[in-house]
Amino acid sequence: MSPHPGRGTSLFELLLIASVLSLSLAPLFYVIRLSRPPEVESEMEFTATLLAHHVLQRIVAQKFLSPDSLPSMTAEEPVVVTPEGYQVVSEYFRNFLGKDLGLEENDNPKLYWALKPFTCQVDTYYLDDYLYKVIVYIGYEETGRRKRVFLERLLDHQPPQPILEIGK
Amino acid sequence: MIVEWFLALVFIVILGATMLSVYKFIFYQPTATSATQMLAAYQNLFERLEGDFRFAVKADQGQDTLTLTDSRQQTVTYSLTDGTLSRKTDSGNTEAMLTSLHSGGFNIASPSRQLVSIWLVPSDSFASPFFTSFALQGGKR
Repeated sequence: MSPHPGRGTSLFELLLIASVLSLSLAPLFYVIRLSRPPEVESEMEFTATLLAHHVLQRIVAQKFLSPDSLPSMTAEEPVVVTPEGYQVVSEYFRNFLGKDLGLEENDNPKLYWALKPFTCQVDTYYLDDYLYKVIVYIGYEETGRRKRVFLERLLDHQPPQPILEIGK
Repeated sequence: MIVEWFLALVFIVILGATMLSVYKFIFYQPTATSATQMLAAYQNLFERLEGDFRFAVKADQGQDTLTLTDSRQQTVTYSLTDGTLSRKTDSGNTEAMLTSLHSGGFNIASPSRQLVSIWLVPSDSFASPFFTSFALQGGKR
């Protein structure tokens, strides 16, 4: 029999409760970790962000040249010429580094194979007060999962001014 | 008695392991690898380019060089020499932005000349290339 049965039992129970409680933190931290974005951006994600930036900047440059133009909406399309040739290269990646129909393998093999896994989709929405929102999606597959990076930008688009007839 | 002390020891070990896990969770720092270092260098280059293009009104392309001119006629020149991308300002400051490059180049989209594309391929064949474009914004957003 213990010389201090009361104190020994309470310490044991305290440790038992504390360890059980600490173990119960494990699923909680697992849920928190799942809900957090990954700390380190992957190379694929970074490249996708750069490609989305390219598309937005191309739209900005086009808008500078012709303010009345709006970017066309496109379906999910490859960013380089595919060997099969049945899928059209996204129009935002034609005239790519001087290549009118898009980048082909012979033009720059390293760049071609690095960009081949990516696809591009552009959506345009009318918001209000002559404001449009353009959203650029760059899709890719990583570790067996389909992922998408998107960037968006607001564009103003004034309606065309009526042409006044001379003499009136 | 021995069983109780043993169980107490087990519980203390569990508590210690939990505290260590919580500490690692809170103060976790990803280890720097060649990939993360390269992404950091790419990020730095992207921010510099973005800042320079924000005020650029004109872009001139030479052989392996790109010169940006702002509305006050100040220039920034990016040049590719011996696998190194450098950035040089009017004040004479030269900064090596990226090293160990296999190839790279600049392309000004014609006929508008409002869009400049930059592509860089590292000598490490497993590393991702850098490709993006910037519009000349001339101080406008």
